[in-house]
Amino acid sequence: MASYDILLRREEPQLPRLAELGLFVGALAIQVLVPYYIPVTRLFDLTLLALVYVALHRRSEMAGMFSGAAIGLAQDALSHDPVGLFGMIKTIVGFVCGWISQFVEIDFPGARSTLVGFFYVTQQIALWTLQTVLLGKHVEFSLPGALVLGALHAVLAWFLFALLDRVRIRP
Amino acid sequence: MLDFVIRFRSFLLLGTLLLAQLLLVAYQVQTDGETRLLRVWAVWSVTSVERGLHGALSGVGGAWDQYVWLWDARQENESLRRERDRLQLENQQLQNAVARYGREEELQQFRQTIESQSVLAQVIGSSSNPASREFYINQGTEAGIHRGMAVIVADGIVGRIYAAYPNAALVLRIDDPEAAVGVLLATNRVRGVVRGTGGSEQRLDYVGINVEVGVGDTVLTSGDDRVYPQGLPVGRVSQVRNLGRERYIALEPFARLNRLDEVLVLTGGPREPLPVTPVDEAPYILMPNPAENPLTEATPPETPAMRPGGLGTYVPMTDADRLRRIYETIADDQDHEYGVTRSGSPDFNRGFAEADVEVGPDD
Repeated sequence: MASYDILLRREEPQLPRLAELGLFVGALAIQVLVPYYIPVTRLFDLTLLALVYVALHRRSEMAGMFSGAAIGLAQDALSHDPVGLFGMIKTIVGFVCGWISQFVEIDFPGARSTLVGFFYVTQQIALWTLQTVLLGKHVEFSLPGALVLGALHAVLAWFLFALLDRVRIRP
Repeated sequence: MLDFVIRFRSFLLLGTLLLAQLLLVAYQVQTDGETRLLRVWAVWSVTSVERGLHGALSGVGGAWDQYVWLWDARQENESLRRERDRLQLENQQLQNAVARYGREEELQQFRQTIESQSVLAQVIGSSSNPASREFYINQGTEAGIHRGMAVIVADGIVGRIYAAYPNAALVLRIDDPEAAVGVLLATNRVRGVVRGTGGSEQRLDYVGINVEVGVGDTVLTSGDDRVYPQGLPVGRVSQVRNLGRERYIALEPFARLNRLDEVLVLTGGPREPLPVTPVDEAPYILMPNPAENPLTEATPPETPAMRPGGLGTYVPMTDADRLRRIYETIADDQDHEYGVTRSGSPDFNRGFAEADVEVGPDD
C-alpha cells in the first residue's frame, strides 16, 4: 500500500523546488511591502497560505515541518517579537498539513480552503497563548474576528491555490 | 529502542525542533542585549530588496512621468496643444515635487525648532507581523541611529527605534500594544502614561480619578521616559469614561501613524548620557565675627583691640577663647594654677573685675 502511495505521489504534478522557495520569499516580501501602501492587507498572512499549499502538496509531514520552521523563523526575524514564536507555530502547522495531506484529497479546492481557514484560527489562538503565557504580554484576542479573518483567508486561498496549480508540473 | 525511534522519527524531530525554538525564545526573552545576527542578516537581505524595489518603482514612475507620458502627448498634439499638455504635465510634476519637498522642508524647519539632533529618514516598509504596529526606515546605525531613539514628525511623536541595523531600522509605533510614553496634560501638567492598544486610539493611564480631564485636552510628552524630549505633542483626549473607581481615557494621536512618508529620528538630546564634568563648586561663605559679649564691648568692630604691647592687630576671638580668658582671669585673681596637683579648683562664684580680662588673642 505504501509503495502504491509513493507511486501515486510520483505521478502527481508538483511545484518545482525553486518555485517553492520563490513562493516563500515572495510571500514574505509582499507581506512586508504591501501593507505600507495598502494598510488593510496587514490582516492577511500570506506566509501561512504559502506554507499550507507547499506542505499539502509535498504530502510529507517532515517536509511540511521544516518548511514551516524556515518560513516561521524568517517571519520572526522581520518583526520585533522573539525569534521562534511564529517558528514554533508554523512548524506545527506544516507538520499537521503534511500529515493530513496523506488522508485528504488535496486537489479539491474546498478542502484546501477549509484547512487554510482552520489553520489561520489555530495560529491566532496559538500566537495569543504563547504571547500571553510565554512572554507575559497583555494581548487582546477576538475569536469572532479571528473566525471572520479565517474565512477571508479561505476565500483568498481558493483563488491563490488555483493560480499556483497552474505552475505545478508533472514529473 | 531503534524501532521506536524509526517509527516515531517524525514526531521526535517535531519535538526537537519545537524544543529548540522554545529555548531560542526563552533565551531572547531573558536577555536584553544586542541585536541577534540572524535578524541582522534577515533584515539586511529583505531591506536590500525593499530598497531596490523602492528605487526601481521610483525610477519606473519617473521614467513614465517624464518620457512615456510626454511621448504620448507629442503623438496626440502637434503644436500648441502639445506644448500646453507638456506644460500641464510639467506643472503636475512640479506640484508633486513641491508637495514632496514641502513635506521635507516642513520637517527640516521643524528640525530647526527642536533642540535635539536628528536624522531625516524615509519609510520603506512595514513589519512581517500582522498584529504589530511597526515599520522600517531607510537609515540605520551608519547614520548614527540606535535602539531606543525617538521617532517624530512635525505633527507629533511617532514611536521609537526598536532595532537598528546598518542601513535600516525597525520603528515601534506608539499605538503598538507594547509601546508606552510618559506624558503630561497641557492644561494642568498632571503626568501619566500613554499606552498603545493596537487600535486607532491610545489609552492614557495613571491619571488620578479626581484630576479634571476633558475631551479635547492636549497631551504632551513629559520627558520622564528619557526617550522623548519634554513638550512634544502626542495627541488629544478623545474620550473620557468613568468606570466606578477607575477611569478610561482614550487618546487620538496627532501624527498620522498609518500614513507616514518621512520621519525624524532624534539622535541626540535627552538621551545623551548624564554630564560627567563636575559643576562649579559653591562659593565659600565667610561668616560674620563672633557675637560680642559684655567682656569685649570696648573691642571691635569700632575700636580694634591691640595685642598687649601694641604690636599685633585685632584678631577676632571665639566664644571658647573668651570663656578660656575668663577662667584664666579668675585663676589669676585667686592665685590658682590649673593642672597642679592638690591645688584644688578656683571659686568661680567669686567673680572678677571685668577690667582684669585681657581682650585679644592669646600668645
